[in-house]
Amino acid sequence: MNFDLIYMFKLIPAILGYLPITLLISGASIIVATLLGLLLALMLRGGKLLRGVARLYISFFRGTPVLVQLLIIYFGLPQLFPVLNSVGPVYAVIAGLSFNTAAYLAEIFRAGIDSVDRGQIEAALASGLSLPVACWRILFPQICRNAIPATGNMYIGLIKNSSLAFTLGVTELLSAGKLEATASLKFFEAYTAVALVYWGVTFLLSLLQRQLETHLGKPYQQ
Amino acid sequence: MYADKSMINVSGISKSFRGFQALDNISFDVQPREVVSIIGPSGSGKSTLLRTLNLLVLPDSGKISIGNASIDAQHVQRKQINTLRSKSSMVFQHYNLFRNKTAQENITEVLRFAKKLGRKEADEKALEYLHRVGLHDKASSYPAMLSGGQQQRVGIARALSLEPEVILMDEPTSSLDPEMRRGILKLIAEIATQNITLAIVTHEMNFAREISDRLFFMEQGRIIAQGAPDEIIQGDVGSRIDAFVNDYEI
Repeated sequence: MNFDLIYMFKLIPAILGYLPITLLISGASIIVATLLGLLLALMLRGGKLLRGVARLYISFFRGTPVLVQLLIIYFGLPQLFPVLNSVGPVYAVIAGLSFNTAAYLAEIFRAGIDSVDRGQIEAALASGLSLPVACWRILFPQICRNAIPATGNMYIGLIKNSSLAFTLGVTELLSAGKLEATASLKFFEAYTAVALVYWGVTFLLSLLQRQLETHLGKPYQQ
Repeated sequence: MYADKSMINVSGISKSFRGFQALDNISFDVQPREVVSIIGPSGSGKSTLLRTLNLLVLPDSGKISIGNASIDAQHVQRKQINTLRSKSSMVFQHYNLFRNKTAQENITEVLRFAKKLGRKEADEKALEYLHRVGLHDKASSYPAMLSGGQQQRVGIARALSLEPEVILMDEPTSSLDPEMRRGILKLIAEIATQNITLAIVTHEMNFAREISDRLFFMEQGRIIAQGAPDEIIQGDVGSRIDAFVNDYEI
């Protein structure tokens, strides 16, 4: 068996140098996707037209491969709108991952909103709280608690999908690993090193998620 | 004027849900410090009526006033809704405690954000009201840790703490087992003696008779009889009420 363990561990620090770009893509996408997902979730509960637009959006972005979406955004759209030629691939990846993940988050948030008993908002309003205060202080924490497990999964999926940036020519974790692999011809070690770094990042995120779940779940323990 | 003195004045309110007439041109007055119970068969519109008083249900037409706040259902502004709601507080059948807040926080939350009290003052007042309902030792318990009866006590403390002009109670004991029910009924009976205007929707006929100044009997979205409890329950006001009262084994 031909496996160079020492090479693999030596490679990790070199690959880690590209972690910031992966984190930038993932972090920015998480923020944009969450805001867009919330907007879509509210649209799903809105009037007929808003609901229709949101459903169409969700259907398209859930029903087509994320890689195809990235290719449309980065290579296709500038053909229609030449001004987009100046947009760098990192921005295109952030846009694509955000648009895609938002479609899934919208359904998760909608279910989260629906899962809170109507009596909660009624009690808040009947006690004289304004609607925004009732939403922020009473509904939002309960929605978060219900939505966090599924949302955490989506965030982890998004971090892994950030490796697709490689296809648009962004040098991030995966492409750094591929460069090393091609140079050394030690493919197994290089790609395993890449996998370990992704695993480390998603493991830390899972820990954070579990802590948040414990914290928000405290009021519900009998 | 009679209407000027009344605490609650309801004039000609109607409400329909998808063609079902839940409230049909209802008018009544409730005097300050009066205790009224609304009784009647299920689906007669009792809860809907109560919930129009704080506009959790917005009537299609008619006028409502509580204290010096009033609203015309056909020309409603958000500010008027908030003003009218500030005149009353509500106790719910399913307690509706904020599930993410402790017993004490359930009260401080409404004191801070509805009554605009400072955090410290709200905390102290919340404890005082929990004490009043005998639950000061449960201040830091979350609703999930409390029994139904305890949750309803917190719900009552929350409603009292707002010191409203009117307290609305929507079947406050319907979700409780008999033992807990007795405790809550006793607590409500005590509150009823404390110079507060109370409107209660209930199926507890004996209780309603004991504590109420007046009973409203509802059927098919209308108040078909109102008067002193004995007048309604024993008086000759119609066979339908007799049948209903007999069902509840008075």
